[in-house]
Amino acid sequence: MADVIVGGVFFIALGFAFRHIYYHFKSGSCSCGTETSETCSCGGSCPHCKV
Amino acid sequence: MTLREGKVGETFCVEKIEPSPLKSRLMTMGLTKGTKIEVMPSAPFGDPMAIKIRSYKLALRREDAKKVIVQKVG
Amino acid sequence: MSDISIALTGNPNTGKSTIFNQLTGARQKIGNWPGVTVDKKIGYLNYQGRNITVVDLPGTYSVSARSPEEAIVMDFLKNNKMDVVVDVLDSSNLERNLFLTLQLMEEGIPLLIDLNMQDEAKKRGLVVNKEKLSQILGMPVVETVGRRSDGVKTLLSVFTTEVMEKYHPSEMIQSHIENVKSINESGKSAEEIEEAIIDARYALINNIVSEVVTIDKRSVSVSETIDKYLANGILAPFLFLGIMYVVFLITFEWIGQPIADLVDELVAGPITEGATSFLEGVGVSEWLKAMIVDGAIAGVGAVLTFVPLIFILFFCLSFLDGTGYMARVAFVTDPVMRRVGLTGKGIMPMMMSFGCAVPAIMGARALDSEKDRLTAIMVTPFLTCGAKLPIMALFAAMFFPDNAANVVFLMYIIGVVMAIVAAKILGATVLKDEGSTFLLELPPYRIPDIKTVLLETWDKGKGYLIKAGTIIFAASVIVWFLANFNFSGQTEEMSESFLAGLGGIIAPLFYFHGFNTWEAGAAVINGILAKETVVSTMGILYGVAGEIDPDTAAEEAEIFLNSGMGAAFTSLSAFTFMVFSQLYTPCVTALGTIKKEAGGFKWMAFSAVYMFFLAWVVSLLVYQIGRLLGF
Repeated sequence: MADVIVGGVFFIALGFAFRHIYYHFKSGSCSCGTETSETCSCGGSCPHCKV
Repeated sequence: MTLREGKVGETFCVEKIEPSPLKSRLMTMGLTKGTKIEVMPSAPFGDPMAIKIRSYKLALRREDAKKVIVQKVG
Repeated sequence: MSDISIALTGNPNTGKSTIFNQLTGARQKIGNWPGVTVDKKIGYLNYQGRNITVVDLPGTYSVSARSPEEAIVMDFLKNNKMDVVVDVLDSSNLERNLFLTLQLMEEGIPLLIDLNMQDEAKKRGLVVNKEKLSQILGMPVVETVGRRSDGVKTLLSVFTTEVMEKYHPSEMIQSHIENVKSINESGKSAEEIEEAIIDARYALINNIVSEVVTIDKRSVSVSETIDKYLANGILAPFLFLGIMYVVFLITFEWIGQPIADLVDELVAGPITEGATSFLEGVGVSEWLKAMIVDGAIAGVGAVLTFVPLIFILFFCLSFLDGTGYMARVAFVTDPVMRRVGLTGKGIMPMMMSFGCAVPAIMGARALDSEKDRLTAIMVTPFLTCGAKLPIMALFAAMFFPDNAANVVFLMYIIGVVMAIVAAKILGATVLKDEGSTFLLELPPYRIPDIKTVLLETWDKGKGYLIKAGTIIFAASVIVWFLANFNFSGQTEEMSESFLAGLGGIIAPLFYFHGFNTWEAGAAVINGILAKETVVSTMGILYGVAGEIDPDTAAEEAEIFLNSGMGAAFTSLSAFTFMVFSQLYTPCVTALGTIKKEAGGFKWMAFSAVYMFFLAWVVSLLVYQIGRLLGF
């Protein structure tokens, strides 16, 4: 049981880390997300951080 | 003469800038015809040089200063 | 009540960022403009019940699309309908500052003129008649003193009360705009047109300035006196070295390191122990506990220890930048930098890269020519960044206990020399034909605005925190997994793990370097992920907790020595490994930045390959010559 809870939390955190890495490398050095959207202010409707 | 030969304390008036990749940037920074330039103390060993122009201080290499044709006024 | 949107424009060194920070405080977001790595700063504030959004546009001298910054300013102002566009002017330098103002007015953008740095102008004996300026331009004019909040209050009340629509360019400006139009239609060459327009602008500026500025008295500026020592005299280069030495002392001795030690103690002690006893308490399996403690905490902890150092270094550099000294550094070092194929302006990115290559690569955009920029981008990663420091500290303490500090210093020197050599080589081969120039404003010395320095430091340093929580976190878990598992499950011996297999594949590359072990091979691979992981990988592989910092390195080195790592290296092969680590392929984050800044995959791949190759050759020479000399 403890394994499931602790492991679950840990792997969710790890998932977020990988999600960040995915966006990070997809968009070069933009710290938050996309570079494709013209209106994005990071710019804009960045799907990752919603800036 | 050119700005390159300018000595500290001398004042010049810009005549023209010879064609160079830097020309439009120099003009944007205020080196237009008739502008007064005062030569300020340069970096150690004489290069780059510093000039006072339009009440601010600008640094440029002597090699680029060669393109600036000036007339001595003081 | 509707919301208000504001954009700030202005020349560099006009105190624009200070105004921005005074307006918005910490309520700002820093992102990137689409497609380029120029900072886009947006701040939010609330004044008298109205929400105000402020966009800080990059500081530029003009908007002629000569640089990405200039293009951004023009595009933004043309494509976004802002309620107010504030043009921040340095009151003591109206002559040049008004150039941008006129250019923006020619584009039909109504402006709110902010006469900033009034105090400085007064000190220089200049009196600016703001009513007259407002009348001549036909735009509202507000006075501010950047660091004081009363001026900013005035700005805010203008934002909320004035309606920009009612302002129109004066007749003088309108006839100038007509004039520019006729020059544009004169059918001359693009170059001639541009020059004629520049002349027309400055001619008008001369008229304006002679009407609004009166010179009270001439005074000798303090900046000139300071410059006599810091920029002109024969002492200047030595004063520069002295100031840099103090910066490094502050970072690595006085302030940064003690904080780093605290973090290290915190990670090694309460956090590691706390997590261990908590996990044991709730009764999780051994493998999960090992993954969290030996993998994640050890790996992330190793990086967190260096975060204080990086923040302090960036703080010092931002502070110096705010004083105006950095421009003098570029001025003084230009003759030397030019000789090695760089320019004085390259010194700032070079110094940044002692903290981290990423902001250094981004900072290279301040350089004038494409050649200078590319050269700086290609060579700065050779320098010893904050993440390479733990490698050097650990190996030096282990294998050269009597000379540790000197050996680490030697590594810094090797990095600098290599950067110079590479700049020379690149200048003679790949980046040959392009000229290099140097044109730089030497702004008056100023006391930096502390809020601005702190925000800048946070902005540059937070990347490291994000990296620790994401890339390093994920990498640590992966390394731990690879080091403890193989196709048949969890392994007893690490030498049978996935990681051993991977390391073993590249180990033969280092057969003539004296460190062809799979452990070293694995560390080299991981180092491309992030240099910090070279040490944490060694830690995981040799079974010791991964945190190493230069101060406690001596004690921890002993633990490492007894762990089998001592037997894996001789002093010479350890030294060789240090040289290789110092010089090889930058980390992926830096590579990503290179791709963006240098404009393409080609340069990124080039930098990855040529740095690996040079590192390989140089460390090979070190090892083989060392052997011949009998070390």
